[in-house]
Amino acid sequence: MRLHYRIDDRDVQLDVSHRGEGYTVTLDGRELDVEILSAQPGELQLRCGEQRSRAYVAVRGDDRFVFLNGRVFSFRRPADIHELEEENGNGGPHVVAQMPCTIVKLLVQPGQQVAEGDGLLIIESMKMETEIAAPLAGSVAAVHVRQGETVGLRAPLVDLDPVPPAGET
Amino acid sequence: MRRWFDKILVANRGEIAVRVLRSCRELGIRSVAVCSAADRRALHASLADEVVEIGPASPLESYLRIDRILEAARETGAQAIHPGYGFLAENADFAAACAAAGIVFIGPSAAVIAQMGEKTAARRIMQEAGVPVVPGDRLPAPGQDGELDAEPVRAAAARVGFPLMVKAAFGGGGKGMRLVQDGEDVVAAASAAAREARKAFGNGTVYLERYLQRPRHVEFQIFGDSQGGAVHLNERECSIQRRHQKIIEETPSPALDPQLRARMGEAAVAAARAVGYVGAGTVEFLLTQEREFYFLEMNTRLQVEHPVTELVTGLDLVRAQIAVAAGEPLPWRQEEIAARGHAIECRLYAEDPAHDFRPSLGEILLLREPAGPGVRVDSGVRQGDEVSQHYDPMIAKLAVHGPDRGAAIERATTALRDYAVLGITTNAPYLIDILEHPAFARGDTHTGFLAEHLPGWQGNGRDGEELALAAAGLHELLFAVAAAAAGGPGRNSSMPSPWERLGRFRLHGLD
Repeated sequence: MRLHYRIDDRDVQLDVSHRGEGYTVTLDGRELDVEILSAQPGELQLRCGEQRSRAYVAVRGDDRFVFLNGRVFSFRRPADIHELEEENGNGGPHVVAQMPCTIVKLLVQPGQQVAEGDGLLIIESMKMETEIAAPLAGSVAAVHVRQGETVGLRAPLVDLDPVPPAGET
Repeated sequence: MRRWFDKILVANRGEIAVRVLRSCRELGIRSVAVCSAADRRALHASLADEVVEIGPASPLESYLRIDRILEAARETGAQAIHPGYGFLAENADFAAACAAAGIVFIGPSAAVIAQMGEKTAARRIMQEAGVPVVPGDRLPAPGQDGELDAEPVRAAAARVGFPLMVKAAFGGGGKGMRLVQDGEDVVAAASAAAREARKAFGNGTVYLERYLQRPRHVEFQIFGDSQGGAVHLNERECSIQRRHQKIIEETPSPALDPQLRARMGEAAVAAARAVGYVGAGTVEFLLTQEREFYFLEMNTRLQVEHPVTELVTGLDLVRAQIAVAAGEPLPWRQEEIAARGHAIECRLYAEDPAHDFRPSLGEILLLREPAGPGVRVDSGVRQGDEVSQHYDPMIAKLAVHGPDRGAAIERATTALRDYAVLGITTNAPYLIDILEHPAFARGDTHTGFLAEHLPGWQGNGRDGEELALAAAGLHELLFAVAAAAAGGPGRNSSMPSPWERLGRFRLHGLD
């Protein structure tokens, strides 16, 4: 996944990819191998080389705040749909499982048109059912899971081909 | 145990209101909080048995309204009022109004507050009691045009000697103050200070005081009771100040040995006795590099920095304030008061030290306070609270206790590095840099420390930025993809992310 951040006047591009047990974060050509030791919204425990750190993260609109080793960093993340388009190369985002879960019900089929916010599928995790909504309008390019299936973190669930925004072709 | 009061009203907000309310609860005393409209959901208001809203956000219309606060006390049947510090804590009219209403003011009498509030009167009383004061001289009151007669000012300046300070008799907080070097125009400086003092304090009386070079600020906690008892609870050194505002305090002072401590302690108790002091107070001294000490002023209230005294003595000053206000004798004799180890307090401010210390306002999105042995946090805020422009930017105090000064410094820096506040900017990195400065480690502190050692502080640039970006990116990946997609150009960002509703969870297989 490619992410763009702005720090004061600087623009920074961040590529995050899954590798083995951890992640590789590429930043201005430099690679950082980071393992996530634990994670919950707002709090990550990370290992980077020999160093273990606890990072707290808060979000307000486009603002991102990170507390790390006694220091606070502020970034802006201009919301940009192109980040998602870059992800699977066919123009649309993967909708992925953000935690291990069981697929309770599929609500869409390949080829189906969906509007932003339409339900794609229902998952269950931590004994709670949650409907996953389409992050944007488009057509369903692929459905990667079956009803009743249990999937792990970051498993692809549904691919979407976005409807081109008005004015673009 | 006998209950000293059935109900106490706390006429303050923020961390000090929280501190006092906790003591009330511990003592089984019912508590009343007052709050402004902006503070309805503030931490202090949530901790009291009853809450009375006393006005709009502006302190002038709420926390400084003597009539509203007394009305709240009458309405709720509170027998005593604890003023905290700031707001009405050193307002003689408020103490007098409490007395007139038959409500116990937890603090000294209105007469003592008034005497000590006028700096020139306080200096005279202390001189008569044999307490050394900074050499200085009064000036005649300015004329109708606000100008001072040149001749008496020049004569007084010649007696005091240069460099000297012009200070406001009814002032504080750096207003109405001027430093005058030899050869500079003392008459112009005194007149300017007088005009400033008249605007700020409603009284333009100023006086001259010799300017001491690189002094330490060393103050003594004193305590008196209504039976005439008076003790001191050792010193606090508060030399680390920015624009006359203390930001780091410690006890014991690295500059004191037992002999000097005993001499200064005796002077502090003499000061308390000279005015028949009842309750908790502080006698502030300037201590020169030559180890001479001079009375600076007396604060007739509980100090912000009282926790360091509590940590080393093991005593509860608020509890003692309440007992003494109820007419009890002091709970300790001088020889029973002993200090162990070293304590340091850091004041956490919602301000940006890299940008002229400008206040940082807004919602506290995330708050994780440090904990552990010898770590005490006195906080006035919770996660989700709004830091508003109406009130003091000090949101919390971190106080640590260690076996010696070095251990206390390490404990303080470690705790500050664990103190996560997101959404607003705090001075925590600045505090860490002060504590880790070699001059601070040596105990070589004086009131000009920050101007000398950390001018134009800018922080540590981009250290750690890469990992912080990685953390932001990973957090995005794990928790916020849907939310980010919904926030795209021209899109409605109110679409809920399913993950926001799930709350805490732990990723399996990653431990």
